[in-house]
Amino acid sequence: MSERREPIPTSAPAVVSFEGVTCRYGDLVAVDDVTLRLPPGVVVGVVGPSGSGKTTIVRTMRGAVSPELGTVRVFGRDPRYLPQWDRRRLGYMPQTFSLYPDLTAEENVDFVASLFGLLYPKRRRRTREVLHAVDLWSVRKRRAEHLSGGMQRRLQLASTLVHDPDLLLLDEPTAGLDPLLRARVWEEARRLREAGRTILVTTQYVGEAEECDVVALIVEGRLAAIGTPDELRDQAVGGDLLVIETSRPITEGEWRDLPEVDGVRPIGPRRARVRVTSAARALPELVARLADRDVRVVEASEERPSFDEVFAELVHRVRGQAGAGGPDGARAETTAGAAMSATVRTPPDVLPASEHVESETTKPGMASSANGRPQP
Amino acid sequence: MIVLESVTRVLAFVGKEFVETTRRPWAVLSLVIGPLALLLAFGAGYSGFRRPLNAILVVPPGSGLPTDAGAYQASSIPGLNLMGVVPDVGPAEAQIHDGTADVLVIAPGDLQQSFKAGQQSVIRIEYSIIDPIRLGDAQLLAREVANVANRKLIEAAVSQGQAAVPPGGPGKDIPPQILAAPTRAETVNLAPTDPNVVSFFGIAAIVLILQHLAVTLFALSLVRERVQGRFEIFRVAPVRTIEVLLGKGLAYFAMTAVVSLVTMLVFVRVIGVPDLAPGPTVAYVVTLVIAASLALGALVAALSDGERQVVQLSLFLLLASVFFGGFILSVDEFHPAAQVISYLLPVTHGIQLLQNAMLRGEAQPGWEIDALGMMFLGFSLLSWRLVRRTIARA
Repeated sequence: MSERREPIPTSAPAVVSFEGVTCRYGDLVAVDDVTLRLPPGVVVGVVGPSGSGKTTIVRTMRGAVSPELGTVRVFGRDPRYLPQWDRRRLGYMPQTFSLYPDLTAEENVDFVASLFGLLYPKRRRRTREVLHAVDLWSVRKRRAEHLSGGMQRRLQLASTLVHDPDLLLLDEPTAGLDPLLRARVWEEARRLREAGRTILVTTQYVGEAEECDVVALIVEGRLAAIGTPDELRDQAVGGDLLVIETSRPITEGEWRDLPEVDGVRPIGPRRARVRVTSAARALPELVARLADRDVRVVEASEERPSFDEVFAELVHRVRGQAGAGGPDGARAETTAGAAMSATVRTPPDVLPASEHVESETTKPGMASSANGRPQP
Repeated sequence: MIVLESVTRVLAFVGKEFVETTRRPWAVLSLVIGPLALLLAFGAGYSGFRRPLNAILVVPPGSGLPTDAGAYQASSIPGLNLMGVVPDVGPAEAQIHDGTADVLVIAPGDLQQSFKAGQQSVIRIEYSIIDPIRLGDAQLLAREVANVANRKLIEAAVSQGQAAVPPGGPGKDIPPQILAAPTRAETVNLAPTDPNVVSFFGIAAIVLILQHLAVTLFALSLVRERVQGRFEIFRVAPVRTIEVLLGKGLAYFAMTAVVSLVTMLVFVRVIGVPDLAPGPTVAYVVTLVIAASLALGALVAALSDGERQVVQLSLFLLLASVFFGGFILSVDEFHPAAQVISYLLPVTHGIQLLQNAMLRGEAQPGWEIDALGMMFLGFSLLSWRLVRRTIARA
C-alpha cells in the first residue's frame, strides 16, 4: 500500500467530516477539537497511544457518541440519525469478537447479511464471496467458537464486508493477529480501497500506519498530526536523514558549517547522522564540500526512520509542548490537508529523540540493521 | 421491498435463536425435561397425607374423668392421635418440649362441680408449634375437643334428666345425642371437579414455570447481545429495535409454547388433572401468559447490566411470584397496596385464569385476560424504549 502515493482526491464530497469535534465522558475530554475530512477512496489510519481517543472517534462516526462541540457528518448527515439507506452503506468492525460462538462461520456471516436486509440469493452469493476473500470458505461449517483467534478476526471482517459498504470503520482490525494475518487484512483493505471504498482504521501497531494513505496521530484526545506517512516522517525528522561515514572524524561544529546541514548527531568516531532538507540535493553538495576539506566520504546512505520512531518522536514532542503550556502550532494544511487539517508544528533543530531506539517493525523486504541503517 | 427486508431481519433473529438453542443440548434438555420432571415428581410424590398431631390427655386426680385411654377412643377426633392419659402436667409438658408430643389436652379438675354450679370449665390445650399450618390444625382441634367434651357433658346431663321424666313425658323419647347436638353440617361442593392439591397447585406450578422460562430465556438472550458487543453491530446495521425484539420474542415464544404444550399434555394425560376448559381457552390464556412474560423478560434485560443481574432479577421475580402470585397464599389475603405487586405479575392472572378454565370449565375469561394484554403492551413499550436507547448509545 505504501507504494500508492497518488494525490488524495480533495474535490470529492467528504464521506466523513469532523469539524472541531469535542467529546467528553464526564470530566474526561476524550476527543478535543478534532477536525478532519475523509474523502472517498482512501485508507485513513488513526494511530495513537492506548486511551488516546481513537475508539471514541470511531464511536462518534457511527453515531453512538454525541459530540459536545463541533459537527460530525457521515454521508453528509448526522450519524446519530442516519436513515436506513445510509446505514446500509456503513460497515463497522468492533475491537472485540462480537459474533455468535454457537453459529458456524457461514451462519454468522449470513446472519449479519440478513441484518443489512440482503435477500436470500444475494446473501448466499455475498456470504460465499466474503468467506473466500478472507480465506475461510474451507471452514465455513465450523462453529465460530472452534475457530482460532485469527480466523475469528477474519470472520468478523467478512461479516463487516458482506453488505459491500462504502465506508468501513475498522476498530483495531489487526489486534492480536500474527504478522502474516495482519498482512492479509491490509491486503484486503488495499483491494477495497482500489474498489473505491473509504476505510478508517484504528490500530495499535504503529508500523501499520505505513499501509495507510493518510495517518492521523491522536494524542490525549487531540489530533497531533495528520498527513501521508512521508509527511509525518518529515514532520518528525524535519527533513531527510543521511548517515555519512567519512575518512576522518569531523566535529559537530564542522558539520554545521557545511551548507544544507540542518542538524547533526555523531553516531560513531567517523559516522554522523545528518539532517538535510533534501537528501538528493544535499548529498552531492556535501561530498564536494567535504572533498574541499580533504575529507573523503567512505559511505553515505539515506535513512528512513521507522514509523515507530516517527510516532514516538511526534508523541514525545506533543507531550513536551503540552507540558510547556500546550501546542502552539498553527493549523495548517498538509498535502492531504486539503482534505484534512491538523496542528502541524515546526520541527525543532534536533534529531528525533527516538533516533536511537531499535525498531522491531520492518517493512516487508527491508530489514533494519543494528545501527538502524536500512538494508535491502 | 422494505417489508421484505424487515421480514428478513426478523426471521434472521428467529432462526439464529433456534440454531443457538439447539446447539446447546443440555440447555434444551433442562428447558423441556426440567419442568416436566418437576411436575411429575410433584404429581407422583404428593400424597396429601398429613401426620396427625400426637396428643397427651392430662386428667387431674379427682376430676371424675376416666384415666384409661381406651375410654376416649370412641370419641376420637380426626387428626389427633391420643398417645396416653397422664395425671400430671409437668412430665407431659416435658414431652411437648422435647418434641415427642405435639399437643397437651388438660382436662379441668373441677368439671362436674363447675357444671353443676352452672359455671364454665376450661379445657386447656398446650402446644409448641412454629408451623403456621400445623398451628391452625391445633387450634381447630382444640375447638373440636371442647365441642366433644361439651357434647358428652350434655349427653350425660340429658340422660340423668330423662331418667327423672315419666314415660311419655316431654323429651323422654329423644336420644340424648340428638338433644346434645340437634344439628349437624353436611357439605356439598358445587364445583365441577373435586378439590385436589395436585390439580390445584400443579396448574399454578405450570404457569409459574412458563413465566420463569420466558423471562429468563429472553432476558439472558438479550443481555448477552449487549454484553458481547452485538448492540454495536445492531447500531450500525439498518435493523430496528422492534425487529430485534420481535425476532427474539417469536423464537422464544415458540420454544416456551412447545414446553407448555408438552407439560400440559403430561399433566392432563399422565397425571390425570382435569381439563374442563372449553375450546381454545387454555391456549389463549397460555399465549397471553407467555407473551406478557417475554415482555417482562425484555424489561429485565433492559434494566440489567449483565447476565449475573439477569439471573438475580429472574430469581427475585420467581420469589415474588411464589409469594404474591397466588401460588401459595391467596391474593385476597394481602393488603391492597401489596396486591399491586400481585397484579403486576403475569403469573397471578395466569394462575387464576387457568385454574378457573381447567377446574371450573369457565368459558369466558375474566378481566385477567385484559390485564395480561395490558401487561404485554406496557412491558413491551417500556422495554422497547430502554433497549432502543441502549442500542443508540452502543
